[in-house]
Amino acid sequence: MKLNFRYSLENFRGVAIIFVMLSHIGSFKSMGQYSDYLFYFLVDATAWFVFISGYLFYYLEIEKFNYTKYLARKLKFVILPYLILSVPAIAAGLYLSRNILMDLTASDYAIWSILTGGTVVAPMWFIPMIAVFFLLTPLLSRIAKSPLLLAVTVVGLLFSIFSFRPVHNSNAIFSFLHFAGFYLLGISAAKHALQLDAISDAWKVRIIVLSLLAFVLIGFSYPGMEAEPISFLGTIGGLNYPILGKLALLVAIFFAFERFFNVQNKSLSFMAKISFGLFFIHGFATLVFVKWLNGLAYPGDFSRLGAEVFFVVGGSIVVVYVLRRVLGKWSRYVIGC
Amino acid sequence: MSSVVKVFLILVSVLAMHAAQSRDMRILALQEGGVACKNDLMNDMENISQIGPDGQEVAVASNFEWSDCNDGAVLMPLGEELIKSGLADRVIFLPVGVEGGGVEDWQDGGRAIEKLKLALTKANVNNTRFDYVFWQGNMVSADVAPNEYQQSISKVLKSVKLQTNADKFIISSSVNCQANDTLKKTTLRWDPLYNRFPGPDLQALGDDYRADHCNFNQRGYKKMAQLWVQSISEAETLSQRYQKESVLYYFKKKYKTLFN
Repeated sequence: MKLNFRYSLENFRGVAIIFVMLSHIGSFKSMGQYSDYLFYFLVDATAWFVFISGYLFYYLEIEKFNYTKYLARKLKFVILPYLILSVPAIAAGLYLSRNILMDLTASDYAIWSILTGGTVVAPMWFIPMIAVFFLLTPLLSRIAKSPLLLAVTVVGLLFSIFSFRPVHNSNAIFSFLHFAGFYLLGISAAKHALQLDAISDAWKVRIIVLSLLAFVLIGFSYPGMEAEPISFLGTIGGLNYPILGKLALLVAIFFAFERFFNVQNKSLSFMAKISFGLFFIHGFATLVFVKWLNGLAYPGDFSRLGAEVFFVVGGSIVVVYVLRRVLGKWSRYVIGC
Repeated sequence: MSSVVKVFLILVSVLAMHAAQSRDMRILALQEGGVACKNDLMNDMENISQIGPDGQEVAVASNFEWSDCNDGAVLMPLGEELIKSGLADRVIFLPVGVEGGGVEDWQDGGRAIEKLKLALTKANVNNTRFDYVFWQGNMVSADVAPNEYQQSISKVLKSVKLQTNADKFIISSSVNCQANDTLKKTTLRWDPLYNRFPGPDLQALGDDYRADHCNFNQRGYKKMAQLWVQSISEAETLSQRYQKESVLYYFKKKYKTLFN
């Protein structure tokens, strides 16, 4: 089976990175009564990235899968940039005395940060988790080819919905368990792409409307940020409203883009291409804003929010663009894109 | 001497050492501000002491050495509760605070923060290790923006961690005691990877526990002491869970194995 290039998926990836960057905007949490809705709307778009990763794994790798070559490629273009960008992140952590706050020596703090992603640059945790996916690709590949794929996907998704991220995203294995359902959903969607394409437009529209409705209804039931558990252990079985909402929105966006937006969009295509770099760089931008710009005298909460969005999203795009121009062909080794 | 006898002797000596060691609990109590000393509650109590002006342990007396006795009325029943509950055999407090203070006194150059620096310098002379650092929030009449309040306290707690050997932090935040009850209650979240945990909820104690809107009565102080003990137990459980989940536990265990 060979499918045509899916602009819809590329556009989805562009939207996902925008959501991920916005979800790390701290000012959203100071928006009074709107904070909970904004949080619910934006948080956990990482699940979409995991879904897209699963989709692309099946779409690009499954037929000619070679574990050694696959890992070598991931080492060069994912792990190496992670290690390079971990250097300033760890240096910042040491500068901010995070190792002392955690009762760790400087060297242990560095090792812990590399193993977990650390806590200074928020999105770094994603790489240790996605590395677990990389390592388990032989198993995932077998599941993908198995007739049990859909059953395993349903179980995985139920686990995602009834579990939470580990504390500070600091455990790659638990993060993997929490998000694996979305990866399997991506694999399932890619494996059954032709069947999904064959769904009539009328039914696609019905699925989109129902999914959006579900997203809104789940949002109204959401108890709020303060009720969110902060750990994986001891919370399994609790309903994860944001992740359930993101699943509903994923279905809506996936079908909506397939049906109405399966064309090249230059802006989203650009965002998708640099998404990996943005994933890293916006974490640094968020840190800079929180440490040095958040305390400035803003006329109000909305202006602070606007300034942070402009700085984090706009600034990250500019930085990634400049780094790509400066580094040329080496940029994939440094910022992953 | 046979190896069996050796093992037996080592076991006996370890057990004897353990029995001889009294479980001391040292608590650095950062008192945001508040009322004057309650002299009737400050009489000498067995096994409860404080860190004196030269860093040595001395008897509890009115006033506290490093505090204008703010919330002293909570600490004494707390000491008793900790001993009664079996969590400690002796409790040594280092209360630091200034009368009528607020969170602003704990910022750079403030009255309380300067006092804290001096107190910690003295305590460090004797290599004092604090099992807990309390932030004793206050019943205040002014409204405080939760985010700003949290940032201010985080700064104080960080400076404590950098200056002295402290294990866990338990924080009871301030409440606006004159605020309308319908105001949304904000629960501040503290970073568990830094061993920071929420303390008693001052707002939860109703009129039965208050002398007036902004002060507790005797019953209130006793209840608060029980709530602090409960917070300590919860912090112990949560700390272990989060430290293990984040893998930090295994990094720290290495040192414990090395030095014990």
